[in-house]
Order: sequence, then C-alpha cells, then structure tokens
Amino acid sequence: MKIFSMIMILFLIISSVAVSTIKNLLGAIIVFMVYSLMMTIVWQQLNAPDLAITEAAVGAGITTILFVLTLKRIKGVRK
Amino acid sequence: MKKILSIGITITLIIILLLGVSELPKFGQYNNPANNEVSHYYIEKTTKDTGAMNIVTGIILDYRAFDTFVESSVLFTASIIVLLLLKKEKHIQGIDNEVTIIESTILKQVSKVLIPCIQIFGIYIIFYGHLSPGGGFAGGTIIGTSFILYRIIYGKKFTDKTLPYSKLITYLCGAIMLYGVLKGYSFITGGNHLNLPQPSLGTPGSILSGGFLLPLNILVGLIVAITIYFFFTLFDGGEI
Repeated sequence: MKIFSMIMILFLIISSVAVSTIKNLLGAIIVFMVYSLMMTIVWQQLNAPDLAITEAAVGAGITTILFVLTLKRIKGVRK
Repeated sequence: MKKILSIGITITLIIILLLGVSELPKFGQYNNPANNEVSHYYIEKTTKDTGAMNIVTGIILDYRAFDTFVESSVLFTASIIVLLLLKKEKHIQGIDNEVTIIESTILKQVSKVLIPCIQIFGIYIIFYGHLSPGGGFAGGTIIGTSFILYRIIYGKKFTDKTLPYSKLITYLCGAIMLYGVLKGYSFITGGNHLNLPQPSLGTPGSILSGGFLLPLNILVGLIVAITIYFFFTLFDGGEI
C-alpha cells in the first residue's frame, strides 16, 4: 500500500508540474482534471471518503466544465 | 539579470516553505496536536448526540451548523452577484450569443438513460448523507451537473420549460431562508430548556433519523445544485 501511495504522490507532482508547463490550454485543463481524480484516490487512501466524493464532484466535474466554458468564451480552443 | 533574480527569489521562497513543512509533526503519530480531547469527544458522542452515523455530517450540520449556513450563503451571494452582472434581459436582441448545444442523436438517446441515473445517485448521496459518506455539497454538485448535461444536449428552449428561472430562484431563496429558520429554531430551543417540540433522533442507521440532519442536507443540496446550474447558464449564454 505504501508503494501505491508513493506512485500516486509521484503522479500528483508530475501532473501539477505538467499543468504549468503545457502550452495547449485544453490539454492543461484535462491534466488538471486528472490531478483531481488522483487526489480523489489519495483522499480515499487517507480514510476521508467524504472529501473524496466532494473532490470527484467539484474538482473533476464542475471546475473542468467552468474552465472549458471560459476557454470557449475567450476563444482559446482552436478547432 | 532579471532571470537570475527571479530564480533566486523562487528558490528562497521554496526553502522557507520547506523549512516550515519540516517543522510539522509526523503524519499519523499519537502525540500529534490534532489528536486531542475534541476529536475523542466527537468520535465517542456524535452518534448519541445527533443521531448521525457519519460523524462528518454530524459535525458540519449539527455542531458546526452555522458554519455550513454561512458557506451556503457564500454560494447564494455568489449566484446573486453573477445574476446581477451577467443576466441579459430577454427583449434586448443585440449580439447573437452562441450557446453550447451539441446536436447528436446518439448523445440524446444515451443521455435519456444516463441523466436519471446521475440524478438518482445524487439524491441517494443527499438522503444518505447522515449514514454514509457524502452529504448536501457533493450530492448537490452531482445533481447540478446532470442539469448542465441536460441543458447542453437539449438546448435552452427545452430546459426553460422544465427548469424555469422563476421557480429556481424561488427554491434558492426559500432553501436558504428555511435553513436559517430550522437551524435557528434548534439553536434557540436546544440548550435553553424551553420544552418546545423537537424532532426525535430516532434509531441511528435508518433514513428518518438524526432530527434536523436530513432536511438540512436536502436544503444544502438544493442550494448547491441551483447555484451550479446558474453559474453554467450565465457564463455560457447570459440568458436563463
């Protein structure tokens, strides 16, 4: 279990660095969503299922929708 | 020169923060300051005091209920401000605003099956908030997401009929006022020996238990769901 937690934390660090370095804005939002999903698993590992559910719903769901919407408004997505 | 200066400032800041982290107590030790009589009190007495199996819900909706009330009013204030700033009047036909609609038969048919499942899951999380992990905030977010999906797929005309603005704003204001009234009632009558009727705590483990916890959870869920739907519609097209 300890190795699993280590891998999750490593992925968290990698994705949080990747969010700030990726040039493509839509890709950065997707990576941010992945960060939230992994954070959900880490909360579950830390015996906090309440926070895990809230993180999955707010962090991975609503935040991503609002970010994509903002990106559409500022014409950041190129089709 | 500028680059070296910014790198130096960043490294200094990182070192200061890491020094602060190294002073923190080790995770999960018995002697940590977090492990004091408050948490022992909560773990031992929450189920007896509030009737909640889920201690977190017992704390945030009973011991710390006014904290949650102010959190809900933060959401309420945010949605009112967004309404004031972004809502367009219907009779002004100015710029054509593009609204997100996805025209796809497959999506429509799949969402017909999927949206009820999402909503039932959200309602389950709200109603079992005092028994299992979850509660008003998480369940309300899930229901709000299902409304957003509904609007994206079926468009504005359809959702205006099923989720009209006047009804939503009434529910939003009514929910936050009812929350204040209910919790204020239990706050005033709770410790003052007034002998006014109180909802019974019931047997811990059944749905209809926990006194005010279930109605408060439903009200918080209502506020969160409507606020999120408002955010999406107003940021998207400015019309509701």
